[in-house]
Amino acid sequence: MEYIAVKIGSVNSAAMLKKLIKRHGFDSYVVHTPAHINKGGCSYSVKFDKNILDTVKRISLENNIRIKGIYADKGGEYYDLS
Amino acid sequence: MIYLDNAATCREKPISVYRDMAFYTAFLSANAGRGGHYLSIKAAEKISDTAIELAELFNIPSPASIAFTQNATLALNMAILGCGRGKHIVTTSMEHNSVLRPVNSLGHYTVVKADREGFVNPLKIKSAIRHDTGLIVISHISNVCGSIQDIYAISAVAAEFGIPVLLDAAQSAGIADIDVEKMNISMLAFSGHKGLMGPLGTGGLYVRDEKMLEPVITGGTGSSSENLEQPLNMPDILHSGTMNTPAIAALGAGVRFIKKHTPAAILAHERELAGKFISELNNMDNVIVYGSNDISRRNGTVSFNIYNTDSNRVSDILNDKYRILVRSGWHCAYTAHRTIGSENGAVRASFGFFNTVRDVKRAVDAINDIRKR
Repeated sequence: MEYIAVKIGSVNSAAMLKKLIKRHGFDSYVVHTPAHINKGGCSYSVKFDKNILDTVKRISLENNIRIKGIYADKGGEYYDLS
Repeated sequence: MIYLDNAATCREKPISVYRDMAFYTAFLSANAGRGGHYLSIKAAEKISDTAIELAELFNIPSPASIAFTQNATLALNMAILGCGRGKHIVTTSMEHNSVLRPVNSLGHYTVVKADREGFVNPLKIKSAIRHDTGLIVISHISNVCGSIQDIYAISAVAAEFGIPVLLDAAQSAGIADIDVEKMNISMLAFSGHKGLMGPLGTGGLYVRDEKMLEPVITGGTGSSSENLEQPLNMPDILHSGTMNTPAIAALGAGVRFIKKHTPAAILAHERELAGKFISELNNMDNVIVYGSNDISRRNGTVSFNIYNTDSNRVSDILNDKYRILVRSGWHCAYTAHRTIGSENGAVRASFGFFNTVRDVKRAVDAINDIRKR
């Protein structure tokens, strides 16, 4: 499975997005944003199957949860897709 | 013991609230949003669960626009001080001090007087609006006499002028039907521990458009630590400091209970009890009941006085001799008491979901004894 990670910011917002994705029938994970993406700050991302990216974007927009970056997650290394 | 002080807090809770409070205190006392370990994330998810429940109850489109506070007072302060600086504010004489004090501290406001029964005329709200009015703050239900305001009409007036409405739902959340979309509410402040039957120390604020708010309390939010500016997105803008995860989780249990029974049925029960109580008191020739006699326009809160008797004395006797718990005085709403004609205070009995007809009868009998002394 290939993963996408969207950078969200606070754990609370990331956890909310995860809950909302689950309500749409999909699994996702709250993960630390790697340090090379977010230098020094506390930041969390939500990771999911790349095939639901459009769904996740829609859910975020509908619920005012800001996506601060979209990355391909290749074994923990993030590559900017935005 | 008969507890008739539900307007202050709901003493008896659903079993699920006690259970969740204990369970999540024991097993999920992690700091939500302050770590990436699984317990912190689970705690944050639990808080999201409660936000989702509340969003469904109030028809809030996005649960992320709800922030949790320790009570409605803090929510109101965050809203009023965060949105009202430099603007003229319109509010009413039926407000609690948790509205009037922060509004007064900003110094630029008009208080619209309600009528003797505690109802605010929407046309008077309209007359109070000025070119620089930037916020209307109104309580849904009076904590003194239970009068229910016509929020639809008032928010229609506000919409005409493009002015946001902050609704104080401390007394109405969980009892009245609240639909932020249909009511055109820009901000909703609520208590978690009254009609929503959650634990003490819970409340929250819904904000439709986070751009209308400046943060009042700033600090750690578990995000953007490198930035000395407070994050401006909801709910982070209002979530500084550690959150009370077990209490918020238990609040979720309370909300599920409310949804199961429905606010309409709960209000009907309160009205049944208050209606019987008012009817009996109205038959006592030296007792005055404040507010409307039309029970369809009020909730289960009833303020009354026995002529020539200090309300504190009445509540002390009810407590000491009859173990009937009420609240006397001005209920943190002196201007409301002046409005309805109880300038020296009153005895307030507030019925809730767990009260019964038997409680009404015992309270009536006790008041009847006291008034004859």
